[in-house]
Amino acid sequence: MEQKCILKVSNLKQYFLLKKNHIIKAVDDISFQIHKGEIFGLVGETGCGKSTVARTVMGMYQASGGEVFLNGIRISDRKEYRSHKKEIQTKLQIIFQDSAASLDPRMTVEELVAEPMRINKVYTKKEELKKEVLSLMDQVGLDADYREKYPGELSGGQRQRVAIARAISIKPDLIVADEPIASLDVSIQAQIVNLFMDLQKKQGFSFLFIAHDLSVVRFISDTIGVMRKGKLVEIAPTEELFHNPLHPYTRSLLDAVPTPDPVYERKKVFMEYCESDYTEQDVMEEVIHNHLVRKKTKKKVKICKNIPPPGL
Amino acid sequence: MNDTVTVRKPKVRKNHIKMRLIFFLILLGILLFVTVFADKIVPYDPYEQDMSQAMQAPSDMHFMGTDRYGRDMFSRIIIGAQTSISSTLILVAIISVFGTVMGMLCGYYGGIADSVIMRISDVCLAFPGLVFALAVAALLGGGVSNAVIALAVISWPKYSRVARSQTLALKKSSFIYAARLSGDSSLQLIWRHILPNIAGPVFVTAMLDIGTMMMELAGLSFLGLGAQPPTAEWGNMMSEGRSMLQTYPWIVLSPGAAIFVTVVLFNLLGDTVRDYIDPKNSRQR
Repeated sequence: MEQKCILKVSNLKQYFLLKKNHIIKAVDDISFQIHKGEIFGLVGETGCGKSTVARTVMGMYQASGGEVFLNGIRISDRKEYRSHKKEIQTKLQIIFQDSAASLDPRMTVEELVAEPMRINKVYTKKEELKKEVLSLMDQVGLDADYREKYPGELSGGQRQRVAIARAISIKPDLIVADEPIASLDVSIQAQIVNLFMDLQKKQGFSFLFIAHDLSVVRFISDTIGVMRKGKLVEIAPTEELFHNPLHPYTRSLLDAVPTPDPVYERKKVFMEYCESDYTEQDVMEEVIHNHLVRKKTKKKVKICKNIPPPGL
Repeated sequence: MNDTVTVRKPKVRKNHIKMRLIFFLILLGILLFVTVFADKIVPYDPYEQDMSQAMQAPSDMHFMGTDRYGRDMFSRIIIGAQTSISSTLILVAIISVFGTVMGMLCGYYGGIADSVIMRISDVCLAFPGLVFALAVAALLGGGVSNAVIALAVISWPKYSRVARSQTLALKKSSFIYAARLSGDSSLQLIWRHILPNIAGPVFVTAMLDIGTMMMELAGLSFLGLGAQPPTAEWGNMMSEGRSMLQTYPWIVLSPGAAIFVTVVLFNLLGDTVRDYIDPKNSRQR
């Protein structure tokens, strides 16, 4: 099945120099692809470099190494980014974790939703723009009465809806969502995730969804990448990953999810993950079709077909 | 017992700040009205000399007495308001706009230009303002416009500091990233996102600065570097009367009182505006 590849990240590296000779490898040699209409979930523990991947993909940071392609345009290259700036702007949108910080506190909801369209001059007439803003607000479930409000007067969920309306307003090919639901209540999280999926079905954009909540990622994603200390350790289609986790880190991550079953919880043996077993030289290998695992260079990772799915 | 429902009333302080703001704005309006229509209001010609009426004490005819050339003090103070208030407002407008623009650009772009401009402003802030202004005014010669220029040269760094620090704080926020990723150019970003967000603190600084600037302008005039003698200006009117402080005190006291009242009014208004736009008080509005 040949699908159009929207985002291709190959060997992406992002190093930060903290002090003299103290380099933080925030993102180290990451490769993945997102096809058209695919939702790619990126999970990992706090500080493993998920957000850095998002920011580098968005062009906020200049990549230290490797390449990022959007629709075949090499956006990791500054020159190429600049010459295709207009095109990239309308194809790529981001949703931030902290909706309070990502909306200008001095702009009304209407101005905020209209902003990307205004900058890219999608509409020439003011009435058309206004109509589109109202239709977008309706799509994300915001009442029209809110258009005169300022972000400070909205709740977290409503602010995130405004951010979503902004992101979808110029019909992008790819939306990067950097922990879009982490700052919300659980009930609101469910609403927002459902909204994402509805909009995705309607508009067909691709989605790079970053989260640390496995259940949410399982619910929303088509493919999942697991990150660990700046490296991708496993990429697999969602169900494959949950039923057949190959990398020990993925297994321990899945094991750590608590289940509402005390009997099972007490008996649960946690998967130990030993850091020292894995070295810098490990490379990603396609073990099964579409299922990539970071493997040791010499010893083979045992592939065990009959691991029971962790109690989800 | 009974089923009356007590509705919690909002506290009495509810509109306190707004009331204060309106009160001071009305006072300011009166002051500006008098300033603008000074020519129509004055009871006597402020520049007409009448030696037979010199050094008159305050009376029914001359509300604030007369000076040594027999000019009516009350008329001179009203006309002097034109010079004093308008030059102060122009001065504050110049330095706040210039300082804010410099501060925003420095904060936004950073780099060598930022360091250079900020060191220059450090130098300006390190001097006592009036001393440096004296030097500049002496270099340029007397006159109101030169006094304004002298004070402008020394006073803009206050605004660039405020604007720069606010811009630095804003620059890293994600809404700036979001706007840039949508394609806003840097100048558009500064105009649309940074300026509205720093306007509040800058405006408050300017309001509180009006009083200070008025004192410094009057000070320069008092020292003979601002408005030149025939011109009615509060600073040089005080200067003219200072040798007669013990015998004819009204010649010094009336322009002094005018400066005092105006400065206090602007300071109180500045305080009130600060309270008014403070987000912590937004509910009381």
